[in-house]
Amino acid sequence: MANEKTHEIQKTEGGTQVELEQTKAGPVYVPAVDIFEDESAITLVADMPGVSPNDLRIDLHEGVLTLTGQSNATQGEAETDIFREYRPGQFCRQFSLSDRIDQNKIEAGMTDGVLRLVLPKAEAQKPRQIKVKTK
Amino acid sequence: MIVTRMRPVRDGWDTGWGEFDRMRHDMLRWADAVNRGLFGEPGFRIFPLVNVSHDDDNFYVRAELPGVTASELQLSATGRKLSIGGKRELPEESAKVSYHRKEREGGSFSRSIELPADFDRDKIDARYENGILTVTLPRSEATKPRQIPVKAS
Repeated sequence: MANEKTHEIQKTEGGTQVELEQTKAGPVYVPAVDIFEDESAITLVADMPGVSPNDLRIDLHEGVLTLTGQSNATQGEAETDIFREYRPGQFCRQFSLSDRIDQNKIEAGMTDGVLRLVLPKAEAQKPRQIKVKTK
Repeated sequence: MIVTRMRPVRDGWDTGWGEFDRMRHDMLRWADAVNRGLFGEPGFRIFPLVNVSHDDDNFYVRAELPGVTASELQLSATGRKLSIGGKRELPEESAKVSYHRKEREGGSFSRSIELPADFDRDKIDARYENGILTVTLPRSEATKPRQIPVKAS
């Protein structure tokens, strides 16, 4: 590896290692997420402050869900820092999904820097009652 | 109190503050460990994260507050101090769901920031967009930098 610093190894839920190479300079943050599931869908809620809906990318490919969001500097050019606790950067996180997801029905909404992603399960994956017949 | 904050994975290019940020981060982690050890409680961490900057006309205070209702934010200014308070409420999901991860936290928070010079308390402007609160505080006339012409004799 030429430059260790430009590489980031991120562990996905399934335990497989995915190597991500960032094309943009700047810090990369791991957004805090809530993930919950009911019979029909998996819902993911992620905190991504400073990311506008246009700067967010959601990618689902071969069972790996990738969230990438760029938070842009709101600071003007002429400003001088007095103190700084956060920096604009990229939010990035990957998850591997075990259930089959109905890709056409994925819904994503972004309000106040919080992403809410609803991943409906494909019909075949929904639990089905199997009736046992007695003779 | 909300205790979660974003965890940087790695640092990008060095803007000069990199080393400072890292030191600060390490110190917070250390303070966290001490708090846990002494009080057996989840450690103290800062929420929201705040950036403070200035230019010739204004001071700017920006805070990372994802998922907060703008109307429920409480801002107050006394002297050189600006206080930001509020409550982050996480919507209640139906009882039927089962959680795989629960990393986000809700609760009330408050922080106050002391600015290095006086500002005009009547003209403070606050905006909330994409989860970032920006407060613009106009510097009072007396503290604005002034160009002083140098006369040649």
